[in-house]
Amino acid sequence: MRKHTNDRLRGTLDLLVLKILSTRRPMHGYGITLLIEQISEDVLRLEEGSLYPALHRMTQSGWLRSEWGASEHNRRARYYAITAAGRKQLADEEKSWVRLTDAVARVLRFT
Amino acid sequence: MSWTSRLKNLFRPNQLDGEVGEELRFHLEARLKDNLAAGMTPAEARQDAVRRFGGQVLAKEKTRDADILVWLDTLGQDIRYAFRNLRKNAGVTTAAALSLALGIGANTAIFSALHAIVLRPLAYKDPARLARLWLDNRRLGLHEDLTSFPNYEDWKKNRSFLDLAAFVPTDTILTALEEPARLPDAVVTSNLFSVLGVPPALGRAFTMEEEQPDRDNVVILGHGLWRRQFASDPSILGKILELDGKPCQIVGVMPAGFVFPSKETQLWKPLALPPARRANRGGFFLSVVGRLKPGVAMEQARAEMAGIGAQLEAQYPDFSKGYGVWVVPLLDQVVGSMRQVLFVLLGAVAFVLLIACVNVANLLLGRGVARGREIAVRAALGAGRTRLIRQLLTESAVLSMIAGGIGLAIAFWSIRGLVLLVPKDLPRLDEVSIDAPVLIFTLLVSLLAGILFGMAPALRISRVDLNETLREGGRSHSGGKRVRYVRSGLTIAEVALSMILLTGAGLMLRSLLSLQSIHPGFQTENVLTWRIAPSRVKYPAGPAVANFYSDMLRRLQSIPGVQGAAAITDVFLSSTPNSGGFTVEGHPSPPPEQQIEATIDSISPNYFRVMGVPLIRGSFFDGHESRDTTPVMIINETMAKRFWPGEDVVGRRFKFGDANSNSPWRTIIGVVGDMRLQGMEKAARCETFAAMSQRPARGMTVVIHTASDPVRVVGMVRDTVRSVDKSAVLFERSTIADQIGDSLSQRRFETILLGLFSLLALILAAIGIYGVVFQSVSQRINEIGIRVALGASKNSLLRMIVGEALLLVSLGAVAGGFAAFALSRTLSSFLYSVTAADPLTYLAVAVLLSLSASLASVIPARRATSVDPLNALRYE
Repeated sequence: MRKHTNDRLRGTLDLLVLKILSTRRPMHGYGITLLIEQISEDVLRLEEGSLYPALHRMTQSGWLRSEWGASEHNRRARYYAITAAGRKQLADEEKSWVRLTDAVARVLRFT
Repeated sequence: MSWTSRLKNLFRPNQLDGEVGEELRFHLEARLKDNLAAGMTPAEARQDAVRRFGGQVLAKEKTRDADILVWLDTLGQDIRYAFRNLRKNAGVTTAAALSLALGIGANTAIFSALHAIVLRPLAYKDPARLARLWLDNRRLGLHEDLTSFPNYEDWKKNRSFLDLAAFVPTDTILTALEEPARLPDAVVTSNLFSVLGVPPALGRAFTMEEEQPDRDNVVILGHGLWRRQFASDPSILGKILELDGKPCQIVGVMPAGFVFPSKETQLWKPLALPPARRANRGGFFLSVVGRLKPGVAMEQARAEMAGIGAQLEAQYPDFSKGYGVWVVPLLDQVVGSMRQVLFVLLGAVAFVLLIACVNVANLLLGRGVARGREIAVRAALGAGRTRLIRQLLTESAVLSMIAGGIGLAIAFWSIRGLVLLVPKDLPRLDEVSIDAPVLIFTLLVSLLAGILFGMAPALRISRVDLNETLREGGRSHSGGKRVRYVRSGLTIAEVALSMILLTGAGLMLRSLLSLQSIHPGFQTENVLTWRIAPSRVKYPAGPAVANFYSDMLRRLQSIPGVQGAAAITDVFLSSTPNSGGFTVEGHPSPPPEQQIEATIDSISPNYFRVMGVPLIRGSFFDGHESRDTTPVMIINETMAKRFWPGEDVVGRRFKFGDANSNSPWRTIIGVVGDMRLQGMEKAARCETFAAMSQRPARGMTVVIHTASDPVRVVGMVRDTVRSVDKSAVLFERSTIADQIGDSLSQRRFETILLGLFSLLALILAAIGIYGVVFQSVSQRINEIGIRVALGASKNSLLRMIVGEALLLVSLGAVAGGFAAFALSRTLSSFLYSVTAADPLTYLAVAVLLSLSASLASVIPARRATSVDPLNALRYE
């Protein structure tokens, strides 16, 4: 099983979650999991349990806001929404992601 | 998440588990549902959901971690890190913890005394509403004088107090015991216990009917007496107790812990006055206590009672002119001047703690310079400024908690010493202990100290310039000018604080010394004092009592080692002594408000000779005075000078009461030197002495002047007294020296403690200066090496280093001197024959400080200058 052992990967998960929440209404964890799978056409399959520590960590950092709400099937679920600080973080992470991928791409082209 | 909700989470992990658990369960169930919808079997669906999730227990843990453990963990890390760091610098840590512990210990000890004696409410119902009422004797300038029964009854007609009660502290002889014993008791009005709001634990209080002279043969026992003498006998009510030879029925027992009016009082009897005494407005002997009505402030009551006082002055000018009503909250009365003393001492120990904090801050700052690189590395690795400050403050807090623990132990032991030092008659002394409020105080003080001494270094260190520090390669000596300024400032501050304390202690010491050097006007060494009361059965009336004393004194004088034995009613005067107004023959009567009372004592003819009191004019009593001869008196010099200035007093006459009173004219036959009879601080008042054969008194004090330690003759004195009257009661044995000592005991207590604290401050300041010089020369060892290499002599270097330290000390001493002068006003009421601006004290303290500082800086300076320059230059 894959383990998110380095910060870059953890940062990637953060980036994905922030990106998804930045354009949508508040979502619960399961919904976010499904979306990631769906959009990345099952390429990015994360260990679903690892999403939650990330969500809580980001909530604590003030990037996300969470509250309990009713799910589609009228179950209690915790919904997450992005905050202003989260949007700023997203912009930063997007920029550095682009820089990183550009750099990696250049290295790949060069050799 | 705010730290409060984090803290809440700490205490309800289960609920959190529930919330996180619910969130995760929702996820799993949603996946399960989708899997089933996609056509999996239930078993497959479940397996797939769990596999995708990756072990829910793990996830749950991790999720919760994010919430609290992150926070707790950093705290744990910080604490572990702090311990590691403190251990690594064991020397600095020990020095810092001990300085702080001394400061915290002293604070805890003084606070525990303050709490038990001053802050804790008295053991009565709603004690804040209780007050003592006194006759405000403006004629004598005495605010707290006793009042008369008619006054008391008039005072009762007010709207501020629910009720007033009156009492007279006396003593009684318990004759039922094997050996007759004297017990302090109080005669009280029947409503006293209800005014105080404390009913008897057993039986009943007194009734109004028992306030009549022939019906007052009832008594209420104190809990202690009931337990000790009567083995807590539950069927004691109704039993008969013989008091002063009179049978009294026990009607009640007070609960344990009931104290009124003094700690020793163990018996209460009804106040039953003969009609003449009830009606005598000029007979002042009553103490009064009252309970305010709900909603009435002490100030209101004071104003109303002042009005009643003025009304009585107008109504009965002869008796009341110059007298008012003085209201004192009961707690203030009980605590007395101890409140101010303890607050001054608390201020002093707060200074000591401040000095300790400054010391530790300086130590940490010094070490902080050395730690600059470590901090810089941590900062470079991404630790934020707040994070660094938090970590450094944690270190300070851990240090202060260790110090607090040691301080508590110090306080625990020093309280025992404190109790020994404290004046014995101090109220509520036995209640001094380390209890919950004291523990909370210690905890708060320790934390506050930790933040205080940790703040400066933490702010300073966390402001490190990364590049500079790292580039310097850890060469710690360039600690920067700013650090050196801060450290100099701190040193100046601690010297100033010590200066303040030392000055206060110096002023107090000068006062005590000048009081101790006062000659009280009588023999103080080797004089035994003992009150002796003959039995009423054998010696019922006046002349027989006088004969008892003269017979006994004759026998006492023949005891080997006894140089003289004499008797007097009271050796020393209380604050409200037996006294009376008087009329001088041939002088016009002064208006009532200017009348002065003179004290009256009965003495044996040889009293002044035995006590070494000089005769100034005329003669002593010759022993032939009797009821049949002219009443004669001896007066003191103050009275002679005041009423017969420049005249020959011998042969003049005066009488007690006004010109029309039927008291006999008394002829003055002698004038004796003034004596300090109300403690060493008060000058003599007008005092008169009668021969005991003309004015017999029971329960006189016998004074026995011996060649050596008077305690040696105690056994023989007792035997001699018993041989005259085997049921005589002997009580209040003491010596003159002890009694003078006791009168100075509160002052000695203040002075010793203030002295101790300022000594502590001096030592701490010296240690501080030592530490600063030590660290500064170690950091400047290169510079010193260069100077030595360039040919500077050791002496000039020594002068330079010590000179730098002394500059700081002088600045501190000057600042402290000014502060001490400003603060010494709080001490002025404690000073005697020395002003708060006494230049000698200031000079002496400044010299003491400079000497200690020089000593403290010479030691490290010598060490530094004796370093081989080559080694010094290589040193890093």
